[in-house]
Amino acid sequence: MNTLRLKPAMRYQLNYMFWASLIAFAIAIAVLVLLTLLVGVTSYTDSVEIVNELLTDGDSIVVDDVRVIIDIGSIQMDFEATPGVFFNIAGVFAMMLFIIGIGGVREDLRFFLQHGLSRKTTLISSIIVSLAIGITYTLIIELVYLAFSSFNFFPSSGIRPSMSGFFRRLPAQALMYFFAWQFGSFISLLYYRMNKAAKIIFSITAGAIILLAVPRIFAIPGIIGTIISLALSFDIASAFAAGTTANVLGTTLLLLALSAVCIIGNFLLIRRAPIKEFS
Amino acid sequence: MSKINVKNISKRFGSTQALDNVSIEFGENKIYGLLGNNGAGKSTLLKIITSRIFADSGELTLDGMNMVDNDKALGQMYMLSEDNYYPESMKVNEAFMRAEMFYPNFDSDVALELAGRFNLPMKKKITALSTGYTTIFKIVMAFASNAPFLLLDEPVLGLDAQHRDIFYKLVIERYAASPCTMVISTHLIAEVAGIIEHCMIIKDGRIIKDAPAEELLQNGYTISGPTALLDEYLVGKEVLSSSNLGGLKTAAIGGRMPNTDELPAGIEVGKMNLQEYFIQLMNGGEVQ
Repeated sequence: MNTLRLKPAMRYQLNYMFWASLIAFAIAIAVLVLLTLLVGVTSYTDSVEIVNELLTDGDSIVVDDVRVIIDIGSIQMDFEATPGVFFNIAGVFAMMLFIIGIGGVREDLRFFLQHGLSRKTTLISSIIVSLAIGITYTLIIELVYLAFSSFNFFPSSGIRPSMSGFFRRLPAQALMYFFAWQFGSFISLLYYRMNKAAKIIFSITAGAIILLAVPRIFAIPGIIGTIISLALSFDIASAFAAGTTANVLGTTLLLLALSAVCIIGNFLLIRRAPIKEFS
Repeated sequence: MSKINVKNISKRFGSTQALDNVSIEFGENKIYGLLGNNGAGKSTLLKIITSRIFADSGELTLDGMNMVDNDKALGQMYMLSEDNYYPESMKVNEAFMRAEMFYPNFDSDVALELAGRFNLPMKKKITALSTGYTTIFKIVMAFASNAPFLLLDEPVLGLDAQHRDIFYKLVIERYAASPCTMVISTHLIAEVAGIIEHCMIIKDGRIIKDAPAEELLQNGYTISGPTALLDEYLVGKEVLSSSNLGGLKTAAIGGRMPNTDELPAGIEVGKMNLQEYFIQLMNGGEVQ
């Protein structure tokens, strides 16, 4: 009988995540504090000249009652006061967990096996830890939203319609982080299990999809854009996504289904995975 | 009594049969030598035992319990191998600290003491260590883990003579202080000959000898003396190998060692060493 030794695996993963999260939240909060100060400065001074003094050469700033635009070279940050649209903290953390999922799963798999833990333990531990992290991040990010909500830095659309329905949308938000991690792990394990030829094909295909998607994303007009749009069925996907995200329950169910697919995929990929050395 | 049972294990990599129906047993509190040339299948066998890779067929049990990807069984083993399974950013001292989470009997004091003995830099990243120090780090981990089964795959890889000497002394010290099962897989037979109790010799993925070291060496002896005298003596004997240096000849002979009074004057007899025995086996000779 296989007795799982989840405690050391979870302790190790939580310990790693504690420090990673601490750094990430410190950066996010520092950015928000900085923005608060910036908006504070621009709100309480009606003078563009004073603000301009704070900027380095090549930057520019335009101040009116509701809007601050900082233009640094080709990057334009739009600090729109009502409604806020520029800083999607939830999206940033979901992206971070996706990257942790990509990098962490293979590293943990090797490290745990070196220390006498099985693949099953690695997988189950990562599921429990990512769920715990998802819930914790949701709570912390809600607190951050609450603390900085009067400054309107955050998007008001998507799965965060208002503070009032917090408990109703908690599962959806936690699942978003959970899914990000598990999806990252899935991509990583998929790549890990491929042979050289499959890796080359996968890399070229993924690259091609990104290259093909870019023209669609930036809506390049003309026949090429139309063909790509039809070929990749973005409209169908968008319609589906819009339908499911129109309400919180739909979003929750969609994320639950996607997470389940990733977990099944991860299980199938990890259960017979040979352990390869770090390269 | 804890024992690992390997039964009819086979493993193929493409067209290469790495292991062919291997059946062996590692008992409790013994030092085993898993000996074989490069590419014989030693590492593959140890990797299969520790579930790093899977066998195509066969059975692996620890006290009757299926070992494959089983936490309970894997937690009783520490495998030292050439491969690095530690995260790129992990430092030596951090690895010791983390090991306490996974091995309940991990002894940090022993780890620190051994690290000091080998002059292992504690604050360096594991991946930044030289080949020799990477091996030393793993040796320290293995001995401090206090795991009942230590599988040491090429444990002196990259070590200089002084550190190799420390390692062999450590094996004996550790075994005397707290007996455990050690499997030392190596192709440096002369160096491990003095410490192994039981030999398993692997060739082309098959175990060709599995017996106590003492027993194996009783089946042969070496003899040396002036070439002319020895040539005369060797007539009708089973000569396994011989070499000439100046007027002196040395030969390895199969069979039981004769008493010194049965030998002509000027001829000296000695026990065959494990390396000579091994070379005979590898050359296709069979020492009966």
